[in-house]
Amino acid sequence: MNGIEKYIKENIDEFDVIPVPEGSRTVFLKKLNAEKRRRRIRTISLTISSMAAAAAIAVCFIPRNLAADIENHHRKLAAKELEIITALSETSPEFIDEVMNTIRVVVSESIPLEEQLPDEMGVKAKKEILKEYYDCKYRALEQIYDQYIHLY
Amino acid sequence: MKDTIDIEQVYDSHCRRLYNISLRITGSSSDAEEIMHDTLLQYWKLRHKEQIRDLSRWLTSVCIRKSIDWLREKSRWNELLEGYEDPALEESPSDEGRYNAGQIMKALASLPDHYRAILSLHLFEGFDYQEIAQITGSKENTIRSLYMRGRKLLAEAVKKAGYERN
Repeated sequence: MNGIEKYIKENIDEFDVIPVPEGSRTVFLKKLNAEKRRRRIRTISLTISSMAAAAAIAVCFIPRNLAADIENHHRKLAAKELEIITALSETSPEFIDEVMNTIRVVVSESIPLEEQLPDEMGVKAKKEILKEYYDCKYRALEQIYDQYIHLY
Repeated sequence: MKDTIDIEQVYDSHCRRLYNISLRITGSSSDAEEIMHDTLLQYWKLRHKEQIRDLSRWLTSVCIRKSIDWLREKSRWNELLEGYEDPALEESPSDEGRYNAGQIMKALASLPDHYRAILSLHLFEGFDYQEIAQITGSKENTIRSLYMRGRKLLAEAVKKAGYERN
């Protein structure tokens, strides 16, 4: 072992002293938040996609003349949900869980309305009721969007 | 919230050490900073998936790997090592004398990438030739030979740094 090797071994603590560049911690926390956002959006997108896919499968058991309408309603709701979560992740990610819970309450259906409508009801009347029903959910999502995105 | 506090604590405890490790290997402040960030982000991503018994050791190992990968991309590392021929080793100049950490760091930073990296891994991180060969994907004999040559260059550079200082 030569002198330099010996010196380093005996004084190793003197070598980790260069401070990290100024502002490095802030940059790191920004990267961390960006990563958290990406991860959150990916998870939520998957959830929403799987919900939309489940809805698409469900309409397979519904008369064909209503199925396309219902699928469109679900797609519209899913797109709005994604829009809310994406926007929220940029502005106030701390509310994402709370908002997702509210969204679930709005869009979830224990028994889909189309299954509750009587068979003897005409297709046109069913379509109108369904439109009103899903439009109402959509407006609720718009209100959630306004409430959180514009407020914060 | 707790999660953020945890990672901030890990950052505060390890950032300087990781930054210095990477700085010694890469020789670039901005890249060392980025590698330090990437290392800590990797910890955050994998903290629930991997069993990390010794956090400091785990972080060091990731940081070193990332720094070596960075060198590979930047400086044709493999070419340098594959094409390396063992020169007849001359006796190292006597390096007994007065020097300090600053001089040694400055001298180390002035060396070509592969010497700097190998010296850093051996002198500061305590890896032996075999371990460095594994980390860098090189032959042990090549690493030993590079180390001996690098040590000589370092001694010369420290001497020079000492003269410049005086």
